[in-house]
Amino acid sequence: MSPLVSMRKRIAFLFLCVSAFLVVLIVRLAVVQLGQGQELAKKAAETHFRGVPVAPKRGNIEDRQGNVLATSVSSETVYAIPAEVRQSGRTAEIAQKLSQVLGKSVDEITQRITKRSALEYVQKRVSPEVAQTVRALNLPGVGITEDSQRYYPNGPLASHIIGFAGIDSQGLEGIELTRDSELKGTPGSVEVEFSANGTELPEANRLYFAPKSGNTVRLTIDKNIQAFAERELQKLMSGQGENMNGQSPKTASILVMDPRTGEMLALATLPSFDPNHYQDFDQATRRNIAIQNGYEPGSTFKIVTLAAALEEKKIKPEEHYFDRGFYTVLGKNVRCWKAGGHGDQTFVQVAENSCNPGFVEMGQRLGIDAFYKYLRDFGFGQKTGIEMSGEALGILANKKRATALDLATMSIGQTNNVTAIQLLSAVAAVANGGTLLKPQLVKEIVSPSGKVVVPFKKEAVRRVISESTSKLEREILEAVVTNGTGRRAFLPGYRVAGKTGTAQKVANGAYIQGDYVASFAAFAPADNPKLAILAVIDGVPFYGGAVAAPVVQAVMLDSLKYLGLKPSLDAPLTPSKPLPGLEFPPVKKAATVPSVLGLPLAQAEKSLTQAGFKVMTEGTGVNVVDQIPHGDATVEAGSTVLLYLGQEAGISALGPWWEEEDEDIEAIKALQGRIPISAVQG
Amino acid sequence: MLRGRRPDMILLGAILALLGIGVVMVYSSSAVKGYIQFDDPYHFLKAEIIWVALGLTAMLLSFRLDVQFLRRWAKPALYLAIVLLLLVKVPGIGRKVNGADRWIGLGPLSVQPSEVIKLAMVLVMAHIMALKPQQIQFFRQGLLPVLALLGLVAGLIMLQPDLGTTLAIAGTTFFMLIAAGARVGHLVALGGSGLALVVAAIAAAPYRMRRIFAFLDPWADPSGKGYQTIQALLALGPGRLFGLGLGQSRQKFLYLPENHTDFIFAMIGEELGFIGATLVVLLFFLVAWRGFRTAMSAPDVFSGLLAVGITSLVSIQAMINMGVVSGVLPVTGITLPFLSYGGTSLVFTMLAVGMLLNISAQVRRG
Repeated sequence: MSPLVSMRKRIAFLFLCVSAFLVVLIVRLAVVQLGQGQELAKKAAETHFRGVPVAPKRGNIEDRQGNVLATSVSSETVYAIPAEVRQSGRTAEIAQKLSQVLGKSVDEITQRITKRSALEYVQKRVSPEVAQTVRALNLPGVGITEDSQRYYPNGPLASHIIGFAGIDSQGLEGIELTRDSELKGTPGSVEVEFSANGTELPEANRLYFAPKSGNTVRLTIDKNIQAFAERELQKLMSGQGENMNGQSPKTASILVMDPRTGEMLALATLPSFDPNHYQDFDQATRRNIAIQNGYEPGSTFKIVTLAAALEEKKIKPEEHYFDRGFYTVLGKNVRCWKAGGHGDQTFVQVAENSCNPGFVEMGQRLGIDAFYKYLRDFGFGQKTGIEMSGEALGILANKKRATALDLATMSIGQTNNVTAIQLLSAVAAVANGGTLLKPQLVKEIVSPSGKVVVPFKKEAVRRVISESTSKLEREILEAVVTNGTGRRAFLPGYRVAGKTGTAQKVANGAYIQGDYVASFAAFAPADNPKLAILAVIDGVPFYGGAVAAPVVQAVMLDSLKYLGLKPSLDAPLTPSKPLPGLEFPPVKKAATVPSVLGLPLAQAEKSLTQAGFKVMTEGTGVNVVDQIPHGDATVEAGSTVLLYLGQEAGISALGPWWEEEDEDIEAIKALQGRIPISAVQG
Repeated sequence: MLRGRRPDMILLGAILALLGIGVVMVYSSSAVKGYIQFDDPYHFLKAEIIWVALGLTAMLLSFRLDVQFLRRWAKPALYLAIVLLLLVKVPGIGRKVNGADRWIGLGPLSVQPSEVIKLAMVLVMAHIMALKPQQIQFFRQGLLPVLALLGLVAGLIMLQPDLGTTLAIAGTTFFMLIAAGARVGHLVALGGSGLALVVAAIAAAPYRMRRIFAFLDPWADPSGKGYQTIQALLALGPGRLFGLGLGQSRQKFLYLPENHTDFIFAMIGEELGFIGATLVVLLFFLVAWRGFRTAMSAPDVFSGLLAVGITSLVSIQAMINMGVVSGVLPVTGITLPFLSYGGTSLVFTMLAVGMLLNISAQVRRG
């Protein structure tokens, strides 16, 4: 065979080899480009695209009727892409120009726009004009993106519950914090193609991924009932509280619950803050004292003692008890508030009279074990689980060391430390037929399209007392308001049940004399309770019932009317035993107090009298140096305005304005030398 | 053409088409790099046009040269190439690029001696094998001298080191041995030991080892060893069937290194899609087909072996390069003939195909 012929065959073989490889190549290209193309294109896009985040609209917080309590309005943010800024080589010029527009120092801006990060916010929440100016400057690596800003249309209303969100729309306190994950939504982005060295591509593709708005959180709070409560608190704080004689308490809270479901209709605390400017308020102001602080409940706690004694059948309502005016336990006398005692009474009358020895008797009959069982069952010493951060546990006296004397003082609400929300939950359990419910603040979660995502679910903690005990105690507590010490909360035509209380305040591990916590717990209508209210007023020089009951009365009346509850025909129209001097004011009329500061006394008196106010003076002097209420305050027409006439004026003349008789004060006085439980255990 | 001789027009057409695609794609691929490095998006295009002009001149020149003249100058050309190969190691003359001594500077020009030696080796091998065509069947008289020369040159190139060129030369020599009529037994043994050598070369240098593993599973180390393979795949994949469109490459924005040289095939796949990439593969198929066809009908043994050698050189480089880019072969620094950005490689490839066209013009037609 000639070499050329054999060569041809072998060359043909070579050609075959090459062709075979080229076929393999084409198959491989088909696999990569056609088979895996989509997947690889996605991967490539991931490396090429870089996102500028677009903040989602944070969900609203609404009250139970759908009134907006917190919403988000869009604002604009100036951002920089440091890699692009550096690439442009005009860093100094960019910083200079931005500094002029944004009013920040050149150094600060330079530092931000050259930071080693993919994206840097230069200034958040700029005005539309500033945003427009920045856009017009058209600086390389600098852009504007939409951001959202939190707005609270009602200002301080329900601020302790709502809380607030920070500059990045992140929840910081209150529901804004606890429901942050529901509210915040999912951020979207504008994706822009970048080169490997971090600069935007010429004619880069831009993709917009829409952010997903957050859900709406609908609270159990009713804006109107909350407003009733806050109005009463404002009145107290501005020194217009009934029987406060122009004094302002330190803090006060009013809690309104639907005892049937555990829904909080109002949870008001003063002092409060404006969440729109939360930075301007200190931590103490933002504290939700109704949940985060404990106090000694005083006589309001007798509701629990009574419930336990009735449930355990240690007493019968018609059983007689003789009050000698004191009850001696372990050599100490627990005194009744009424000098000489109430004498012979039934246990219903013991409750009506808030008779201390009678309640001590109930406690002693129950014994330490049973009493503690009810303390635990009613939820004291434990968190209620209400949706607020920093809920206090309250402090119970150590059961192992508890003596009969401790039992006696605990029976009348002294010694133990409870939170307002614990006490209200316990009262609601007594009112609703005997089931302790978890107090709740969130009614439902609603998606942006208006669909209810998470509906309200009542959460029963446990049954504490029987239906019949509950019914019995409702009647007894109604009698307390109708016939007894709770008469200041009486509402003609409505069946109100309730109990007053006064407790001594604690500071630096000791009880403070002459500084009290006044409270009133009530529910209505007594036969089928729809509202349970607790007012706690801290820092009053006066006794509980006189200060707290009218506050609850006002909130109760407005709320019952607002909820459309008609006066009941079988409800009494007058209390059976009116307290001396207790009047039911006619229809209240509001009037504005004229300012008389600096005026001579005669002129001031004339001006106030003409406006229909009564005048009282304090101190000696020619001109008015101060007045309470202050000018422009809106108060009840015909109320008294106190004028201060000189520096030496004090509050010494306040004495006669309150009643000496308070159910708790005598007990407190008799038990001096006690050490507060918070000082022992805390 | 000149003197009324007509080369293989299909071969010429395929070559010119590849060259044309190359110029366009070099511009499209290098504009970003040119703009960033030299403030001029046309920087590499301008140079490419000069190189193409030089290449076409070289092609015309070699087309006109007598094949017997080439044969006489084969040995001196090899000596010159070996000297150049040694010069890259001389400080002051040799230039280091990417950790390998591959270039020697001649004033403003850089010459890659490995490109020179590829062509010189094809010429010398064709010469040796054509001296006594039957002798190639014998080990000592035929095979051993060829292998000795290959071993010497391969050793010199591996001094740089440059695995890609070594593979191309070894592969081409192997192809020429097959065509020249070496015994099948010898060839199998040779192929086996060649493969063993490659494995040894890979195992000896850790960086080659890592490259091998990287190509098998590039996603294991996406920012390190697997980077180039992944970036090539991220160019090819998004191209899909029709490509992103000419000039629309995203990977050219500094994601894919060497995108206008070794990885230009990835750019073609990205901008022109599966259709464009396949077209390029088919053009190389045409070159191989017409090249080997020329070899089969060459007037004499030397011309035939020369045609086989040139066709094999071009085909093997194209196969390795496209294999690397599409991820079927480990990353090896080798240019894609006609398409990769200019330089010595383009000029010498054109010089070689000029000879091939010259031979094709002498085939007996009928």
